[in-house]
Amino acid sequence: MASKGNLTLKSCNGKEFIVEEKVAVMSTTIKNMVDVDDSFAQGVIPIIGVDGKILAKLIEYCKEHAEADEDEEVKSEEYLKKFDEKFVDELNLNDLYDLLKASNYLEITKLLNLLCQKVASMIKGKKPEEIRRIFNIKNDFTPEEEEEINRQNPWAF
Amino acid sequence: MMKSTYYIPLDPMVQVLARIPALMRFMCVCKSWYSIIRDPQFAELHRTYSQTRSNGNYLTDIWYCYWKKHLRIYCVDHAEGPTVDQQHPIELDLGDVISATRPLDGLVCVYSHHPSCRAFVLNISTRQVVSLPVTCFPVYVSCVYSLGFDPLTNDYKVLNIVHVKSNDGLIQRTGEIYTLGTASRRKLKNLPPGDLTCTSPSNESEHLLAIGGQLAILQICNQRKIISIWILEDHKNQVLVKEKIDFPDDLEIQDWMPFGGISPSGTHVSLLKFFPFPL
Repeated sequence: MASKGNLTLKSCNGKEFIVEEKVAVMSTTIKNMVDVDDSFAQGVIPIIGVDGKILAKLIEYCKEHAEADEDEEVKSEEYLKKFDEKFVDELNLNDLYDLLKASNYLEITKLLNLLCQKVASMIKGKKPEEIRRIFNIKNDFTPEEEEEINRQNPWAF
Repeated sequence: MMKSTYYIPLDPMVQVLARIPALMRFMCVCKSWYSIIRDPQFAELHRTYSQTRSNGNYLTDIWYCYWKKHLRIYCVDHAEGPTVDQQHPIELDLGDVISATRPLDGLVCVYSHHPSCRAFVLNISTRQVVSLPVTCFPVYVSCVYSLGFDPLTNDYKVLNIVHVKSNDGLIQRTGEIYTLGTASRRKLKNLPPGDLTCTSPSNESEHLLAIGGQLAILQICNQRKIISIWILEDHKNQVLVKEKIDFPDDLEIQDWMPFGGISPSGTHVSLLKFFPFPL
């Protein structure tokens, strides 16, 4: 049971995290849950489809940003920028994807933006075959279909 | 343990792709990417991001090579400087004297002043070309196109102001309006007379704009330094009402609306922000 001003978040593999409410409500999804139903604020909020490792990462990010929102002097914009850079650089592709999914589901806009920019920067300027290799995407077009798409878009190359 | 396949659920992938410029070449990555990129709602999202991106592409100029019959589009990428696609110009038969409208939401209308030639609307980022129907004025002295968006009907419109020579030798202004999407065309019943003289069309221009949720025609007379705005008050009966605007005396009209070229400023919003006036 979390004390007042704190919320308990539970990952899909049963790990519980007690976090300050201001940190948790960086997620619009959680904010809506708490606003609509008071029982969430007292009890445990299950975070479906997000495991403990990813949830810990999410909380790490939200904590840093929630504190910065509260007191700009302690954590300057420059500090946050550096934190964001380090945060995404340390992620492997698996974690990057899981965080992207989770921040989308939980509607943590700032983090979603950051992660999307990171993935976008990995895609930009690459050839389609390189992208398939990096992201392990199966090309489900037949060679004829692929040729037809490229014919429609000669500008694309 | 590494997963064998990565999978981003649809929504985040849309979010990622919406942030990528020059996206069309990724249509062939796989079927789900193809359907995302082709989705009109996605195009809208992509456009929103490209307008806010610090290193977004800004169209600066369109060049037409009339002996090769192709168009080249010049853009400025904030990160990488001016860029041009050297390998793949758009093939279009436009005749010899061509002009282009101000770009609007990534669209631009290119046209020839020659009556036998057509006008086209280009989507700069997808390179799609839509050919406009042949003008209903088979003989005319000159024509000027402009692109606009009608917020009321959610349609892109192309205004074509035509100067025709009447039987008694006088030059008259008349016009027609195209609706993109429905590919329909109709003659304008009530073209606002404004302060245009018809004597020197090259010094006068008319543009279609959306102002405060309504379609409007902006008239510019460089010579007399007059700008008028006519708001379309009644769609059905095509009633246009003139808005009175007081511009500063020292306004250099040419500064912000280069004739016959393309303003790099983009949409009508940036055009109007120089002139704060109540509407």
